[in-house]
Amino acid sequence: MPQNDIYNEVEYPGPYQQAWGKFKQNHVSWVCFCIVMFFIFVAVIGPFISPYSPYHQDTGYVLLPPSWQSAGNVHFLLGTDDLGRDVFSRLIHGTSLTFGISLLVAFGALVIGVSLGALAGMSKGIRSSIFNHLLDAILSIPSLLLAVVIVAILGPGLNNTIWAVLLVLIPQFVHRTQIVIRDELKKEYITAARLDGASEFHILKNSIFPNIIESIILQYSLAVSAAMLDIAALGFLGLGAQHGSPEWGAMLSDSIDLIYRASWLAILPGITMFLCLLSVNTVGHGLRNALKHRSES
Amino acid sequence: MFVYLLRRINLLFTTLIVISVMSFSLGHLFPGDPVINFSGKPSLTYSEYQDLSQTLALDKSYFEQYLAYLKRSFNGDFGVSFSSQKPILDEFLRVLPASIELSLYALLVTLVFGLPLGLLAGIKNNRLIDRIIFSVATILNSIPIFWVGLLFILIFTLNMNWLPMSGRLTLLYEVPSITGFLLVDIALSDLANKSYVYTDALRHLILPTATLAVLPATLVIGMMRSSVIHVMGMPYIKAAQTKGLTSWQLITRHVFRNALLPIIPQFGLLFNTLVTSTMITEVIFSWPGIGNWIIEAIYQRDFPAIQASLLIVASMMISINVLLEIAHMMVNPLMRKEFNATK
Repeated sequence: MPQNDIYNEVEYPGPYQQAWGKFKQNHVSWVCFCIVMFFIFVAVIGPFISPYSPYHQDTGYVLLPPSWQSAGNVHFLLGTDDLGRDVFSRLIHGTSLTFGISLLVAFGALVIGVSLGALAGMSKGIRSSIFNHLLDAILSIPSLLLAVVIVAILGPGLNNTIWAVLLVLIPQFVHRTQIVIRDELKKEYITAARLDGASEFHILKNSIFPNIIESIILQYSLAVSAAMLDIAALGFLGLGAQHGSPEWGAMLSDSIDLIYRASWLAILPGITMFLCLLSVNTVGHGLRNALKHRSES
Repeated sequence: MFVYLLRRINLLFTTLIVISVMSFSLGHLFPGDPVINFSGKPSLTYSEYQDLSQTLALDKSYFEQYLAYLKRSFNGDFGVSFSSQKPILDEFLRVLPASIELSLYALLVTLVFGLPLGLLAGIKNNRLIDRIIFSVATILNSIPIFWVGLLFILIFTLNMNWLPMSGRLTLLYEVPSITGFLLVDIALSDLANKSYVYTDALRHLILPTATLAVLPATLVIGMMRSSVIHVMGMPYIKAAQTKGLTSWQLITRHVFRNALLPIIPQFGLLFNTLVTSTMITEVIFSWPGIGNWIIEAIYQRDFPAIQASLLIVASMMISINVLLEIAHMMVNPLMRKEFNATK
């Protein structure tokens, strides 16, 4: 690229910077990224700043509507539920339960899944074929059914849900990593590195890994939204977080009995969860587009 | 082609074996005694226990136990349910039609709405209509299905009072179960006022079907849209345009068919979401299907039922996936060419 400005040093953006710049150009993705950051902030800080404890029962204010309705009370911003617990505080704590745990679970699955996937992707012959069949078998079971079965073995509860979701997410990471490693291995720069006498591990670490890290981040964004859906779905079915827990799915399932009397109990957790899922999905989508189009200026 | 079929069938069999090993090991993994978990009979005397242990081959090595389990599964003997003490296969076949009926209608709705909308969005790529369809699909894709169900109940049942909330039929009508498919059963039955029964059944169907169809429809729109965009960039579309085809001819003859082919194998993903969503939808709308049955089984810690449902549902999913892939191979000449060339 010819430059008019020959005196100053010109900085060419690296591939990551290019992708990041492309990502920021899309306003919708950028806004959603800020929302995700906000949710992460709430998940980390939220439990310390929530106005009430999520289990604190204020028997004087039972089933109070949100404060913008005429019957509402501004001390309980989003109203209270049937036991007089503040919905706003419960939503904040639910953020760290549903969204925070999803982030951590997806990260755990990423670490385990990518290492297994790297092993599988680099191996050849009968070992990899056995592994593939095993993977196909697990991936063909609907994820919620698998999670339900694991919960059935371990017994209901939020802790066991976390294990179940982790075990469900790992094969997806393994599958993804394996595919991208296979694709990279066919390329010429790998052959070049191999001709230079690089060992398999060296190739994996220095040549392949920097090239696949973006697809793995993409898979991570998918995994976070899948984990959130699964945790909330199990909570909703009464198999995950138990009744009374501020987990979003459990809150929704608690609201069913009161849906006619107190519709805000069903609507508010749903909207929060929907917003969170939408922004995570949109960030993933924007990331994919940015990676696809980053070379076009 | 023959080699390809052989490879697919090999894959199908190995996967089925892995699934059956998993399902078999569940019997040992579940809390409680394996004999009770496999047979489903909770209270046994000592001699009965010994007999059962012999017939189920549970006193032998794990490998022989597994073979015996396979044999029983092929004969359709999954033991009896803890809660009802009836054979699990009968229970399963009793609830299966309701689920299939619901998913079939949802699939129909999905395809009727998803394919044309995806086609339209793909053809009008980057125009206003595409933006609208694609954004709405993205937004709907992120709504958790259990919340959609609750919202539908809240809006259409409680506030508007238009549609019924749960079940398949008002208790007023009693339709004898012959095939298990409600709409067929009504036709076969000798009820006096069939049209009323039909309206009632259809009114019960609307909300669950709509809830179930939301997520797959957004998936289909996304798949169809990107496939159509890919096809529209192909040289043969340019050639057809130069020949002077009207856009209607172009779409029906070239775009639609060629765009539909590559997304056939992705329908497996669709079935996967459909099964997952069916479980939740059935619980919300008290639909007497498999999802409801499995959740009920877990509440009651009915281990033989959970074990059998994992085996049957997973096997169904795998078979559907493999069949879709084979069908794709048969109808898509491009795939055949690729396969013949690489061998």
